[in-house]
Amino acid sequence: MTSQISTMQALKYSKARGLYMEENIQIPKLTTSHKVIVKMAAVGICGTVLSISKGDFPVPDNITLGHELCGVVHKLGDDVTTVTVGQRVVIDTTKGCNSCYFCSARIPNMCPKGGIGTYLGLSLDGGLANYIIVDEVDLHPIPDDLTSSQAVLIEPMACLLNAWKLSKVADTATSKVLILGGGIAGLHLVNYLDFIEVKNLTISQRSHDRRKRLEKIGYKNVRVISNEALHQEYLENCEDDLWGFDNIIDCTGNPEAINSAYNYLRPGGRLVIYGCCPPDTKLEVPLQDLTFKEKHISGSFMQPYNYDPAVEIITALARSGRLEISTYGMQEYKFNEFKKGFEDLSNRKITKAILLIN
Amino acid sequence: MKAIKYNKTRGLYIEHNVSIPKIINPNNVIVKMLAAGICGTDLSISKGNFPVPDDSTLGHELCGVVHKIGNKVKNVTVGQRVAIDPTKGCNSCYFCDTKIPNMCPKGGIIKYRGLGLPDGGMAQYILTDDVDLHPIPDDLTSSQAVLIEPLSCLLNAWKISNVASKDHSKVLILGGGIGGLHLLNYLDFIEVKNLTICQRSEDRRKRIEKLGYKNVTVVSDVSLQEEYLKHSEDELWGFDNIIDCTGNPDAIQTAYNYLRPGGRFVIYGCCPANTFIKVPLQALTFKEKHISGSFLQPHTYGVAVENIVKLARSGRLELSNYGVQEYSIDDYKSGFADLNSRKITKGILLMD
Repeated sequence: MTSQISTMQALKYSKARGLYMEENIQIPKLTTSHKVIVKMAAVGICGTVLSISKGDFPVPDNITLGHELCGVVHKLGDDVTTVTVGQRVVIDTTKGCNSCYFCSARIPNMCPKGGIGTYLGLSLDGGLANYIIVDEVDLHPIPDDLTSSQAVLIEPMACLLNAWKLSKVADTATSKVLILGGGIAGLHLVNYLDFIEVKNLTISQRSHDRRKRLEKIGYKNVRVISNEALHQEYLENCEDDLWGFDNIIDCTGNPEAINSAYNYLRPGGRLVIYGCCPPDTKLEVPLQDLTFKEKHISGSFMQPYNYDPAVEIITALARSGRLEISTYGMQEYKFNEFKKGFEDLSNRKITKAILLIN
Repeated sequence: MKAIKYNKTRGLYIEHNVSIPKIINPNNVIVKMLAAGICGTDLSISKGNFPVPDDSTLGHELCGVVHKIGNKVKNVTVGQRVAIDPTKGCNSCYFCDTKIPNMCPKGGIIKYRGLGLPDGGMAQYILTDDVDLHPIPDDLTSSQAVLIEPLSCLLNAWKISNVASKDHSKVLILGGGIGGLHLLNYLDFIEVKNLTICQRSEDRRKRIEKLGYKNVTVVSDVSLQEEYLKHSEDELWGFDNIIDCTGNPDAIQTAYNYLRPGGRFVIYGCCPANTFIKVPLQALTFKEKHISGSFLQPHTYGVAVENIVKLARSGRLELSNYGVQEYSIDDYKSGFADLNSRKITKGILLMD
């Protein structure tokens, strides 16, 4: 089918203009034989994109935003064999060079020629546009019964799977797991961990509204608690070595919450920091305690090779009825209504905005 | 019998009239001690800086000979030389189940012979369980066998380091005392190719250079910091794995900057109470760095025995090359004093 339209819109950011919709952009043309043009269907707006729109996360000027991407294959380069026109796909935004130490060590997210430097929507033009050009290898087909809006959750799931892998949980039946923060990341993670039957889950969330949302979802094995109540429990039990958590995953990016939570680790416990903290903030780690209690602290950033499992998991969650968008505070908006989406996210009225593109 | 003990009032002292232990249950073994190492922790204990139960007998780096066995003991025979694993777990809690018995609330440090358990091996006899004992071959000297326990702890630190590639990962050891030397020796032996060891004092650097390792770069902390400052814009400069063997908070804080993306920092050295490292949070996340503590050892003793035997048979365990010196048990004060003045890296008390 030939399109009469040869230009498109894209949602961009620049220091001078802030967030703006650019019109009349040339639709990308196929450049090499392994490229694919994808017609975008849905793109998620997460906390990082919100930060970008406020000038708090540095990006190249006039970049097209959007890294949580679902679309339809539109045109194929001559040598493309793994996808067909009309197929619904998600786009893996992590790339490595495949030949450096980091790629060989299976952390392409740290690749100096890839990683953040080639991440769509953060360093290279992203998917908040009518069309995007990508490499064949970036594409992962999705099943028909997964909606485009649900598919947008694959990218964050891939990143959370990285954090979960780094958590190295010893035993899903007995390890005590704490998630800090009930925003979309914390929610998404608790949903997944409950689904894979992690038995001792606690989620701490400061705001009453967000705790209510969690309680309404009705997880059986999940304890919902406020920051204050959790800290109170810690103070009451701080002489007891057995109180606390074996695995803590921070989804707040809040340095105070993280510093407090270090104290909640049991011996041998692991703290994984998934949330992005502001620059110049620090975690103060007591050294003797770190050694004598063999504690572990890790950062988790983006994701290495997790798209295949993320597609499977999101599909399974959706088919189990665990991915009703509104239940998790997510809302869809038309592409041209982007301003409302960003505002509602900024006001915490929603946990994630999903822009429906075409 | 004689035993080297510590209490708050008397400090370090030798007690001559200690009862020789007796078999209590059928899996017990009485071991006649041959050699016990003095390490930095023992030195801390002797100065009152590491709490132990009053009148504890010290000594956790141990080699002896089986003297008497309970009637259900099958794994050792009288006269056999053995190394003694000082760790115990309860075998039934979360920590023992998840293979970190060193963190067991009923075991771990509390039951570590010579640290929390007061029946250490700087004595003429000790009472053990059969499961604690590991036979050693005839060609391993008792003094060399003393190095099994510290290697078992270093193997824990190395495991936690989770090195991606022995050929390509850049590994930095902080500190050239006995911990750093022992680790360096082992990593060079297993062919880790890119090894750097950072040591402040020139004497200790000279000792390492004299050992003549081919794949090891020996640097001072000053020159390493200079290199870092020259390369601080270069993301590819730095180390994938850093293991601290100093227990020095300033050295640790400085070296944290030397981690490459995805890098892992393992803190094996014991820092003083109330010291901290300040970790920049955004960089921890964006560069996916990792910091871990390493304490005592979980189930690594058997592997340590095998490796010490191999090291010795390869000629890599000539003790004086590593600054290790032997003393008779009666001369224990010299051992502790020489360790304290850094004249030696480790003292070994010989019982006979």
